[in-house]
Amino acid sequence: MSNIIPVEADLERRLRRELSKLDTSAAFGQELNARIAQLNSAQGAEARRALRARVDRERLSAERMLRRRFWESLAVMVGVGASAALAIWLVGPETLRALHVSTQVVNVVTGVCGALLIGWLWIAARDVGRGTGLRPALG
Amino acid sequence: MDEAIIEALAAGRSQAAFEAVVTGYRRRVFGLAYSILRDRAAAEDVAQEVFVKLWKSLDGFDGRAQLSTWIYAITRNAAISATRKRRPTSSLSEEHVLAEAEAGNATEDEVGADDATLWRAVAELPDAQRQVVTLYYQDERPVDEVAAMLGLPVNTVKTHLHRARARLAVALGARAAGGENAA
Repeated sequence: MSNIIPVEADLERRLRRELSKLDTSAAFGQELNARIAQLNSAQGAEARRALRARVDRERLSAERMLRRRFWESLAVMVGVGASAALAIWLVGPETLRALHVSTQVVNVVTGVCGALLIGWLWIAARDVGRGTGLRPALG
Repeated sequence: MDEAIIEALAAGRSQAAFEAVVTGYRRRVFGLAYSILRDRAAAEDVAQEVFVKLWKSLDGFDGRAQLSTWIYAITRNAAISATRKRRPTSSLSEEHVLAEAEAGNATEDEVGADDATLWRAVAELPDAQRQVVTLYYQDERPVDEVAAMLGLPVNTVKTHLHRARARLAVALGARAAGGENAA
């Protein structure tokens, strides 16, 4: 009878021997590394796409800001210019007489101011036309 | 082991920490998945899935729970989820387990078993008893570690283990007797 029913010690030994064989296959580590490498590369591509999208958004935002500033500055200059012209037209002759300045000096000063104004307008229009001056740095 | 992993994480050595997790938990994660799924390929898939999840989230481990508890919970959830995907309409009833055990010897063939009778007897155990026996004897683990792996109280694990041993002794004894009578 004793050799029919397994002894507890024998059962323990058989359980330990058989169940200790439960392990992953030899390729487990390689497969895991491959899965992680694949995931890494997918995540890298995703990160690059996200960075590109962020840069594009920032560039558009900078372009909008520069356009708005250009029109604001233009409005200010037109306003200041019109006011200055009006002031010159109203009080210019009297001022020249009071300061004893020749017409030639007035013409030179007016010419220099006009050239500076045209130069500034040209630079501002060129920057707005390109988008922004930041583009080469972001590209 | 967990302390070394947590120290590596704190020092920003994520790769070293992950390698230590794989080395330390590979058999445990696989064993736990296998004890639930009873299929080597499926258990290996789940183990891979668990380690990929750990690789993604190990940096975010805040140390509030024990690392092992966290890993075992991820493994149990992944294995249970895999079980549902495999058999969307069936339950994990004892009848089902017995029917599967009768269906063939895939389990013992898969692990290269020498003792097919023993494997069949283990496969015929109720789910909870089979899981406890598998994890307890895979690496001669202490009962409290098996309890932590399965998320069960220690006394429940002891009870399952006791009943499983008794059941196996009877089953193997009956088979031995049957074999001898047949001879």
